[in-house]
Amino acid sequence: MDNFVIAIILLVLVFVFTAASGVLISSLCDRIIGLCDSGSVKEALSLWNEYKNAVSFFVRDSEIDTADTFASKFESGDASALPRFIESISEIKATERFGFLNLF
Amino acid sequence: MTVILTRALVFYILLTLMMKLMGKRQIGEMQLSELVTTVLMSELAVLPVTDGDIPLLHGLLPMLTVSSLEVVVSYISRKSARFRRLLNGNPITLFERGAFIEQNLTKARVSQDDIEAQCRINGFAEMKEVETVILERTGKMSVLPKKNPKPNQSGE
Repeated sequence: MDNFVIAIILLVLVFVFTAASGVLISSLCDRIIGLCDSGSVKEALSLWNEYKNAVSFFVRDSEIDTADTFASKFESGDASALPRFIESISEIKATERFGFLNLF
Repeated sequence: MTVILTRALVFYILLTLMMKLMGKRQIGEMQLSELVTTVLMSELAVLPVTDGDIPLLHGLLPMLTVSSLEVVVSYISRKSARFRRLLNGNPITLFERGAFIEQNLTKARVSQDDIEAQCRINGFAEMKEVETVILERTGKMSVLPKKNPKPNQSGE
C-alpha cells in the first residue's frame, strides 16, 4: 500500500513537472521571439543568456548550441543570424510545448 | 567523462531505488508486465548515461513513470482477479493423465520435447511417472507426480 501511494504521488509529480516545464519553456520562447519581433533584440538575447542554462535541463544540448551559435553571431555583427536564432528558439518551443500535437 | 560517470552514478542510485519500490519480485520470477518494465528501464537508463546530448531528465522522467506505473498495475492486479487474468493469462495444463494436450501445446508454443526435458530436470525419468504438467503464469512448468511412483531424485 505504501509503495502504491508513493507511485501515485510520483506519477502526479512527473505529470505536473512535465506540464509546468513545457508551459514555462514555451512561454520563455514566446517572450524571446516577441522581443525579437518588436525590435528589442538585445533584451531578447540577454533573456536567452540568462535562462539558457535552465532550459538545458530539458532540451538537448545540440538545440541549445544551435541557438547559442546564432545568438553569438548576431552579437558579433552578423544581422543575417537573427532569423536563424528565432527559428532555433521556435524549434525549442515546438519540442517542449505541452500538448498532444505530433504525439505519434 | 566526468559527466558520464556522474550520470552513471545518478542512474545507478535511481534504478536501485526504483527496483526497491517495485519490490523483490523484480529480481526473481517475473510476470509479463514486470519483464516489460525491466527491459524498458534498462534501455531508458542507458541512453542518457552514454549520450551527453540527451538531458538527464529525458531518462529520469520516463523511468519514474514506468516504475510508478508498474507499481500501480501490480497493485490493481493484486486487487482484481479479472485484471490479473487479463494481464498475465491463466496457467495452462500441458500434460494430464498420460497424454499431452495438443491444443494447449500449440497455444503455449511448447513442444513435447520441452515438457519431457522439464520433467527430467524435475527428477522424473519417464512421462508415465508424471500426473500433470502445468505452464505457470511466470513461464515456469510445474510437474506434479503420480500418487504411487516417486520421482528419481538424485542421491535419494
